[in-house]
Amino acid sequence: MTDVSKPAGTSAGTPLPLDGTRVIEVGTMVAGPYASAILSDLGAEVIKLESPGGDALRRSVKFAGTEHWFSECNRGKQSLGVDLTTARGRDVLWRLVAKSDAIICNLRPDTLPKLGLSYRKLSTINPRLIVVQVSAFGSKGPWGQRRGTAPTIDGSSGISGINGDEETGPLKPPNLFGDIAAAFFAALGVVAALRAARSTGRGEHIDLAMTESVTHMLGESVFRELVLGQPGIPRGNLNDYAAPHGCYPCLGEDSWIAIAIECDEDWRRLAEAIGDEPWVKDPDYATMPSRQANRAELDRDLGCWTERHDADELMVKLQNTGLASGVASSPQRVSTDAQLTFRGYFGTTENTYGPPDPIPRFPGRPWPSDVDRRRAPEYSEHADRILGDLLEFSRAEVDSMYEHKVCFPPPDR
Amino acid sequence: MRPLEGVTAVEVGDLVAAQYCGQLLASLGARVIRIDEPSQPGRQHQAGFMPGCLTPEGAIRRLHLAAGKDSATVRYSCAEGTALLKRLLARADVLIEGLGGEQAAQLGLGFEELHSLNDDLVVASLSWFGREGPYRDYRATDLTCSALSGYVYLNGNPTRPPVNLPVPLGQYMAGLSAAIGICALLLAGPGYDAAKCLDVSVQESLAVQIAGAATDVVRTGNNARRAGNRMVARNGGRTYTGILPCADGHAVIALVGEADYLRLAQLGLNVGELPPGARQRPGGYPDDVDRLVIPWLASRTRDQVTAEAQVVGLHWSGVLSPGEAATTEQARARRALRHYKHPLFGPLPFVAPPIRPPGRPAGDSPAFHLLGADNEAVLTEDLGLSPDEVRALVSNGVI
Repeated sequence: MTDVSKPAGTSAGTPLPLDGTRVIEVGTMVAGPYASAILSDLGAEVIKLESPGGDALRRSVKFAGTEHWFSECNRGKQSLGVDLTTARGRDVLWRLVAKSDAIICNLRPDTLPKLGLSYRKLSTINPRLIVVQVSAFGSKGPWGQRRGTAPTIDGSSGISGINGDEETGPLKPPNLFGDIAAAFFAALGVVAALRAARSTGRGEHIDLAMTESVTHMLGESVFRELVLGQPGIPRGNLNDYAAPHGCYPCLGEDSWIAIAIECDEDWRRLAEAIGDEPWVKDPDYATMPSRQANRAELDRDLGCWTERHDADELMVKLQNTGLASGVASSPQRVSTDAQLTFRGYFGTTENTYGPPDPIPRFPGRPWPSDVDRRRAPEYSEHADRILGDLLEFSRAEVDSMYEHKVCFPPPDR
Repeated sequence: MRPLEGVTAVEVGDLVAAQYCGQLLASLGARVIRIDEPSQPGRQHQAGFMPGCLTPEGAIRRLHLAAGKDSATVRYSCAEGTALLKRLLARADVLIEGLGGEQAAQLGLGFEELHSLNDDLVVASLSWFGREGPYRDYRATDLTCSALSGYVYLNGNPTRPPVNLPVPLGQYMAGLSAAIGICALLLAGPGYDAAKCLDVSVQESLAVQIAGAATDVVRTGNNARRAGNRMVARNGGRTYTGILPCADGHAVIALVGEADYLRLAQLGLNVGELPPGARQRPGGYPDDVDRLVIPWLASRTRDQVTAEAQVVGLHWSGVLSPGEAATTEQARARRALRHYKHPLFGPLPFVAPPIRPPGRPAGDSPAFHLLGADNEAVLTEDLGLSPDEVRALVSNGVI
């Protein structure tokens, strides 16, 4: 009988769903590594193969002193530094492939055959292998060799075209939306395909396009544009079914509360909460159509009221009145948000460079969950274990690989 | 074999996150039975309707999310309907529930209750904030929940209010998270005797996308702010980004360090107009870069910008609308846009999921079932009810 009170992953030995699954990652920066970090959270053993210089993210974050970003993208993995441009390095890869269930790769499509990473070669070694290849536009098709970065992927996916408002014009979404969306889809590809592979004995090649990962989430917008002829343009805080609807200023610098009034009953409650302000009785605000027609004035009036209040206090007040509202949380507020804290969203993860980091947990984790947050690896930290214990190279062979820089020794050697 | 062939999932609740999760599982081969209450449009109306069809069948959200699923209408808010739902769950592999905590509790869909019904059932509960916690009963919309994730605060220009996201991205991230968790739990071997439940929060799922910013505050004290179209790469200003007008719309411009600075010259741009520091750190002089590039863009279409930039190794692209993105030559070559045949509206487009497993013949499209189209099949084949029993349920208004 399933014990639903038994948390998954509370301590070493407590089972996780992907226990016994081994994944190789040949990745850099975000999209590939974040995907395998999710799989690591779910119990998979992830072996990260890094080039002689290491994952580019290691170098970029060291420059800025923000090692936690590498930690977040690479938590719980093992690292082996290997030069896949050498024949002996590719031999190491292929031996690992023979013992693994999946491989995730987000290197440039044109480099993969040179590094021994063609699906044809990999599936010959291990017919059950799931191969997920992540690239900006997908490796197949007329743009298959075209490279992209986060802003261009967002621009090509459609999301920048409809994000923003009249003032901003087209706006790229914050941070690395396409990279993380693609990482989640890559993880889905692996866990889904593994089920089929276990039944059929045949793996699969998944050619994942980062742009498609975002465009899929815009399916409703695609529908409107192609079927209803509604132009795909930025609409900002406008909402055809709610007014007022937007972010309103509160006390303090850059402090905002989001409010959404979805019906006239909501408006009545908001008016009651606002109290003795003459404008709430304005007949131009009495009904949804009239509030929509007078949005600009309404936003101005509401903003004049909200800016006299603390955002958190106002959210509580409005929520107690049964109204949809939420502080537009800054990263600082998110780090101490009461709900995220209650749910243990930020687990603490040890590292080698300072105090433990509050690294987010995978939102689709089994519940309840108290997954041990294993740290990100140092460069080639697990080389001895992987080459000696797992791949059963002799000590002399391992030393030879280190000497000839086919593989790279652990930092403590 | 399609990855989730043989898996039966029951989907209930209006939350887009739950419906998106069901759509993903259906695309992977699962049989997804979506249960709607009869004549209850729920929140579907908030995405509008097809012209001349202001009924639940014409709800655009439903047209977008229901393809590939079976449809049964059960009044699960009444005792008889709840009992039917539970009989279905006793035989299912997965429950995707997006009802909201209060209703889920009222229907007896707690994790323990469900597992006493069906020990192997994978239960994915999706909600704005999770089943427990100080925000558990908070009323939310996409805007307000996204605001509490931290993502809205970062969206927009520095001197203007935060801007809402154009689509329910938090809900899509939550549905995707749940789909991953469900597939992982379906893989779990017999040794896995811990929770087969997911309690997925839309707030958390979108918070993932602030991508280290919260941890950054704790580690370095840096509280990231809105940066418009500038990418805040913590590399000392080496990265410049912008979205600038061109002949037929806008283009995304990106430069990283000296290598890309030199590529500007290969495009014929006079980099001598930039301050000397821009050579190493173009991101430190964004307005100067804008001024240099804008005239060059003015005489070029998005396609021309992309083509010329690619030749010299710059990663620039046009800003596309969603419809354009779904119909580029790349999208067409990869069959990213497909059509399903709707019984009332004929062929309707949908964006194929980025994970496209083998096992589906080329040209095949998911079937679209009208509301309640599968009532009889579900009741008689899945639950073994007799025709008389079915008639009684109909006359009692349960289905």
